[in-house]
Amino acid sequence: VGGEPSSRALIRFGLSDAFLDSATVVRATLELLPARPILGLPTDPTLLDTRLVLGDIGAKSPVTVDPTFIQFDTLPAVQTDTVRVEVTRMVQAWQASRARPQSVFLTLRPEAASFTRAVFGSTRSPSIGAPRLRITYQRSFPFETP
Amino acid sequence: VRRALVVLALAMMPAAVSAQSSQFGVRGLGMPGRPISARAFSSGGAFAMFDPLSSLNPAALGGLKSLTAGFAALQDFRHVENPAGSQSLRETRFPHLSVAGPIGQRPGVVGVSFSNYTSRDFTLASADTIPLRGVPVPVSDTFASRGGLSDLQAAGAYRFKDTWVVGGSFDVITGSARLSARRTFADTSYQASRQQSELSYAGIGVSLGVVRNFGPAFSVAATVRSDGHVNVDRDSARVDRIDLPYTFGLGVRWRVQPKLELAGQGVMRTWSAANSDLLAQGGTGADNTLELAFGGEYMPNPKRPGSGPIRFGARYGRLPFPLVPGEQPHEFGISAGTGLQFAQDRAGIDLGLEHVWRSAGAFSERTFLVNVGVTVRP
Repeated sequence: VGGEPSSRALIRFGLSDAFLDSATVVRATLELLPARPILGLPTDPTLLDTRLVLGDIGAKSPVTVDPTFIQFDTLPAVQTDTVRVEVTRMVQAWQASRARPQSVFLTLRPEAASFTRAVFGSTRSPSIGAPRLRITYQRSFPFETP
Repeated sequence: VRRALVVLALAMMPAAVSAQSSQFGVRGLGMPGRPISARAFSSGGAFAMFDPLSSLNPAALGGLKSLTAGFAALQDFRHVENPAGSQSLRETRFPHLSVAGPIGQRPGVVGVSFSNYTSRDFTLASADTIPLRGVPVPVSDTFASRGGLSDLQAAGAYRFKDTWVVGGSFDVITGSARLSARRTFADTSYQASRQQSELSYAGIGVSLGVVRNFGPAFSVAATVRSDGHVNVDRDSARVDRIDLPYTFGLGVRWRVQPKLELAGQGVMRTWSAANSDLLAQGGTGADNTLELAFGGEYMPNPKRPGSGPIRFGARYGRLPFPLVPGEQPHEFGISAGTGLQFAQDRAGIDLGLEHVWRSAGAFSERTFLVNVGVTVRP
């Protein structure tokens, strides 16, 4: 993600309908494993921008402009550990509508205007580890228990 | 002066209060209601088996001489103590409504009533610390319920001279409870969660009753009722079927003097029928209940018994749904009240006060109940 010319990443997930129908998601964290240290400049901060995908048509997929479903955080000058992004609202949006693709788009900001380039593991690089969602949820409350 | 006192008492009733039933109605089907009028309430329920505006004994309808409508409002001021602390709560309910009247010139009376069967109004709050992602996180939980079961009764009674009155009723037990569970986290990375559901109930019951008058001064009444079972649906999906109790009641009434009448009654309900169903659903079960009541009514003017009587009574009873398995709650209450009739006895107001003590193990509460009943004979 990032660099020049700038790269973007589309990450797809496949949560089951049974889970989305019955669980109450209280926290969802997107965990990205860097393939190598992410280097930047201390005086040139870079934001990792994560957005909900409105319709998954590949690289040209439209993404949301609703700030509720946009998450961004500043990358440190040197990032070697797992990058974590809170995406609770996005997973809740997937629960609200099955028509919405379970996908997120990653970009670096400012796009094509920073030295930072992040390379994360994917399903194509199993030795590094694919992006994963860490979800904390509640099961359905047993209201019928008298 | 008496009329002014009644108006003052009505004005003191709060217009809006937070709904919060007894803590002993949190488990099972809730806090059982008492299908009795304000007049019967004032004497501890002792006259309920003979009271035509109460729904305990369908044969009691035989005492009505004209079309009568009754409405009761109950205000509850309660101080609750349990291992989590103590709290003062209050609640307003409308536990009983009835309309009944004779069939022309025949010795038959029919009526309908709507009464509270069980009440499930409560809000519980608790705090805990749970491990999330390997880190202890403080959480606050709130569980609330609004609703309960109601009893819609159609009843009839027939007088055989002035000696026997027999009656029967058909009851539709219905209602719902709107439930919500909310959890908030001290760590704001976790979003507060809220789950909601609605439990709806449906059942059918029947009852038979009889009143035997041994002259004008002494009467005996008995009733038996079967409520069958109630189906429980969660958001329209059947989740349970709970057996409801049989009810057996026996009452006596004795006019000691023209101005003084005494009564007593015992009512047993076989709530243990619901025990296995509640345990199977993870509840704490249910136990049989017995309620004993004794009371009296002093009438300064026997020709107008509804105006200015002094009513008094006491009752003791057990409650069906334990908070802790093996600790059946019980209650004791003392009550008093009076009434006023006006507009040529076509309208009346009854006022009853009761102080009730309830307890079970470490759980206890003191309740002050104000019952205001309005009676209209159009």
